[in-house]
Amino acid sequence: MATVTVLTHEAQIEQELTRVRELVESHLVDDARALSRELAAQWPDSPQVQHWARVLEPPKACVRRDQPAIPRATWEAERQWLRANASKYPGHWLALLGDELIAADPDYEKMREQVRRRKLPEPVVHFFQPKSWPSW
Amino acid sequence: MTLAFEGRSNYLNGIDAPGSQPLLHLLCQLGEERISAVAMVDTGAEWCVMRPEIAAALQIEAAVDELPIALSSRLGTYYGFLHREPLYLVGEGEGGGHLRLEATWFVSPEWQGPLVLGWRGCLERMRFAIDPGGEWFYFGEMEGEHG
Repeated sequence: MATVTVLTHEAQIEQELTRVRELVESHLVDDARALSRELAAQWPDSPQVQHWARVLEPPKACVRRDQPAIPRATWEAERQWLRANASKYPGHWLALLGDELIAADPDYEKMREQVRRRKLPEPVVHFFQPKSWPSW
Repeated sequence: MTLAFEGRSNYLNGIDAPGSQPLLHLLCQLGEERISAVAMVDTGAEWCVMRPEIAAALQIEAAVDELPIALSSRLGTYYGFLHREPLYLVGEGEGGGHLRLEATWFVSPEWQGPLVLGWRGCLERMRFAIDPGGEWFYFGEMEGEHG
């Protein structure tokens, strides 16, 4: 006698999402995208399926000129400082405003706390200087 | 042949210890909080990779029922999840624009490498060019697209 296995919707979704995950891990992203689009149409109410469709969907880039991302027209001062000094802070998070080092700490939250205490008017630039650079 | 770009940003090259490989770093901003950080551009990286500290600052967490995926990288295999978060490339100079893109990030609590701008869900969807002479990274929308 033949045995028929009926999967619940949840089990079907899990099975399909396992396939999506496997495709992503195998670097078959185009296949994963195609499958996730199919699944999103099939299960529009599943948050997990919609999540995968969203993260795999190729995004659109949009250029704006209305809101300056940084108040100044350039971050040349920060760049010069980093070139000259970043390697002196291995394993540290650095916060810079212009050519001024606002904070340096291995702990990201401690670095941010130091920045908050200064009550700075402009956004600072964060940079993480690794202890050693991997052979990239 | 003329290609048009809406913005450009000076990149950092050689801020690491002398003797190591040339790497291209760009100032960018992440999330709606616009956390400014310097990221490494790597066209050979499959995904953007977010430092766990920045993910924590942006309150990014995996969904409770989400199974991790494995990412093999130059630094080994890491387990994490994919997440969508805005990326802004910061334009410099008069008239220059800044670019916004809903990038897909691989987020792993164990990641020890730099903040990476990779191909999928990011570089594959923008026009860009590099001018080593002036250390400029030019960027713009892809032809026929406006976000």
